[in-house]
Amino acid sequence: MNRVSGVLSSDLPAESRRGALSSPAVGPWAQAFALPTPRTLLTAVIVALVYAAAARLGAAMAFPGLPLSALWLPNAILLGALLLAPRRDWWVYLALALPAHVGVQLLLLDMPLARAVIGYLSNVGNALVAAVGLVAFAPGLLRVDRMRVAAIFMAVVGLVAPVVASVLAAAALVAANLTTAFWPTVVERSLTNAFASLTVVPLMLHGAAWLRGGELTIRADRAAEAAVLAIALTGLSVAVFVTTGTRTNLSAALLYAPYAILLWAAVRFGVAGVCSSVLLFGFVASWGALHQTGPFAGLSPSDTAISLQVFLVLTCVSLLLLAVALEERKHLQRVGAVSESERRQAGMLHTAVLASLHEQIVVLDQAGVVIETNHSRRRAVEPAGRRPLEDIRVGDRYLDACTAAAAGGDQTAAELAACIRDVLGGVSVQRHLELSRESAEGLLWYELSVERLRRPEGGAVVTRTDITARKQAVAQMREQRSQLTHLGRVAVLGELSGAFAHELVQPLTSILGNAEAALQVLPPAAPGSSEIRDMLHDIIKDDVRAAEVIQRLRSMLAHGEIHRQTVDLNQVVHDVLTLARGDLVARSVSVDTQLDTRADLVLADPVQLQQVLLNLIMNASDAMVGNPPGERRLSIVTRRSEEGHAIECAVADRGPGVRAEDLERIFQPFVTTKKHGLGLGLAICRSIVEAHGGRLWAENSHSGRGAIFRFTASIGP
Amino acid sequence: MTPARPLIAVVDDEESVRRALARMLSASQFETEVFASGAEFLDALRTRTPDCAILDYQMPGMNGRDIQRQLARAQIRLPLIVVTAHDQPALREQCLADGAAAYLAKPLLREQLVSVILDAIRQTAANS
Repeated sequence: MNRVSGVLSSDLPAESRRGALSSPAVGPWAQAFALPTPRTLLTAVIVALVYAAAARLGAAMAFPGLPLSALWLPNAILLGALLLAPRRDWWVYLALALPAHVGVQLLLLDMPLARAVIGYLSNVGNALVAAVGLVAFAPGLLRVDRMRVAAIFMAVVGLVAPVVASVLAAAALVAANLTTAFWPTVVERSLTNAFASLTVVPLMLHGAAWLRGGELTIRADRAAEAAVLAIALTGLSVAVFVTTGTRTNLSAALLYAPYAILLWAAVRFGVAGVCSSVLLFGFVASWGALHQTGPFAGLSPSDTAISLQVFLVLTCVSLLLLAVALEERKHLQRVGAVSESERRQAGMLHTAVLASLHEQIVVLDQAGVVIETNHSRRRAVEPAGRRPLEDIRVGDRYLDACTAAAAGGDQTAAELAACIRDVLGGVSVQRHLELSRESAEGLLWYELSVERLRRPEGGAVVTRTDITARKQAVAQMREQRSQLTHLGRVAVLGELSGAFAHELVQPLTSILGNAEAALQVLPPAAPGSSEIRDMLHDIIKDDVRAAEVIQRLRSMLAHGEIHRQTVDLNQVVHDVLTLARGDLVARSVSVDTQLDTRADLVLADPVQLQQVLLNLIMNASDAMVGNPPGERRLSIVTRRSEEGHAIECAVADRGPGVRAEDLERIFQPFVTTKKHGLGLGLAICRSIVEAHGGRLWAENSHSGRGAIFRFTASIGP
Repeated sequence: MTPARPLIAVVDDEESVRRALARMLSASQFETEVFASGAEFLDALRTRTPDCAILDYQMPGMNGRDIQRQLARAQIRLPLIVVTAHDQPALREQCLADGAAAYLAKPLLREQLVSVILDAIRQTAANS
């Protein structure tokens, strides 16, 4: 008592005590103490009250002249509470059991203090040894419903713990001169404690598990059955143990009369049914034995106690084993049923997934025989339209059919057979074929892919995908690119023609000037002057003609007409990024767009706008060639200008930027910072933007990294 | 009143063009003076002011319009004819708006040029 209270009333401040005890470095058992929460305290108080009530009942059920009860439940209640509580709270339960135990025995029963204390320590010892043993050998015990767990439970709770606690208690009682019968005390106490623990503890565990399970409703038929069972068991038990008077010839035979009811409880209500029934049965049997009625009457109190307790423990153990075996079997059946239903569900899912795919799928085994097809496949007509490959069904020899069709001249079937053979033979993991076929809707494109079936037995999966839409999109994109490239060339020619025009017109000016001067200075009377005059007139005429040709070429190759319309600038950004995606991915350039939803509609020629954006994006991408791949980031921002009548689009890179003196110069024709550039791109972009009434300019990023090219476009009507 | 042999300045960066224009104008009863750049021309104005100047638009450094602006800033009233080998409608409008007497696309026909020069000189004289 002193030891226990010494621990409880430690002088350490609460915080330091908690800190020291909850340190993870000291291991799980060192966490056996913690300050209780109010909830824990309340539970422990309830447990202590139940303990006290059970102690009072136990005293009422004591064998006359023996310090032994026929039904001593307090230690079992304490053990059940410990198993349900966290280890750190155990001390609270054990400590509160002390006043309950000593209070009942000293105040109500007027028992000597030494006996009361020894009784308490024996109970605590029994509960602690059992609890520690179960934590060690059956960790996480929540229910006694498996044979392995039941065996450990019975060994620890029914044998080791009661024997250890009883040996210590008997020794203490002998030492305190409270008894001289050491071994009878050990045996009697062990049996009483074993019976109580074997019935009460599983009942508490299963009750708690039922409460945790959350399904607290009890079906009326089950309740009625339980009530009938309880009444029948009580009636029969009373008949056998209470009303049969002293020992008769029939009494031994009648002992088994309640067994039918107990078996009923085991079969229908499992472990909890067995425990509660055996407890009721034991109570009545003990009552009879104490009152000298029934089969156990007529013996000495000690013999009565031992024979009654042996009978009860054996009854309990055998029925408990039966109930556990039945529960385990039920569990295994349930698991089996669940996995069967899971298998069925997985199979249904597999079928549903296959049926939902647009691709047509044929799964082949290692010999090239069809083992699975999907719905699409069953409806499908083979790409080559050959009879042998139509209407594929499970069991068909697909590879052989392909080979046969190939022999008949079907080139697709020949290629497909070769692919399947490669994959089945392990030469390739995956093979692809693309093929096209004329149809009423136009040219249809398919992709046939053969992949290895990933399972030990081998096989292949043949998938046919309709890639017509993808092909059309690629063709459309190629067409758009080629259109842009063409426009780019035209623009270059336009710009070039401007430059050439200047270079050609200058000498024509000199020629014309000289010819005109010569005409003036030629003396009219000089010999041959008339002919020279004609020559000079021809020179002048041809000079003017040449100048006109150049002028016409220039106007033809200049930017041409602008087809302005309302264009969604954000959409143009998306379109151009789609066009440039291949190049950007190849150069590891990542793109970040911040497109102002208010900045959508501008008045412009969409193709020319695309041309400007594409040029700026490709320039930005070129500028970042020297960056590590992770730092090739391009950002495109659109926003409505502050004045609100124009939309600004900015293309920013993270390249080295533009030298301050070049910021304006780079827009002149033939000025370039690239090694192989013509120096016309930005000049063309600026002339396009200016022809649209906007501006295009360059600046370096404020962050000091990279250049930003901005252009404006007028907002649409 | 038009002087008997008006002095025409020809400003062009290409020597062959300067020479040919000078010959053509000399043969048309004009006195000529040639300059290879705008700076040279502006410098020469300190000593002698021509009756009319023919300015090439596209020249390195100062172009025809830049010269026009410099003259306006210095309040020198002089009939200017801008000529270019790179004719653009927008440029024509800009030059005329800046006060050029005429804008001509190269190559230049003598008859047209002489008539434009004489008109420009007359117009300037009439205004002053």
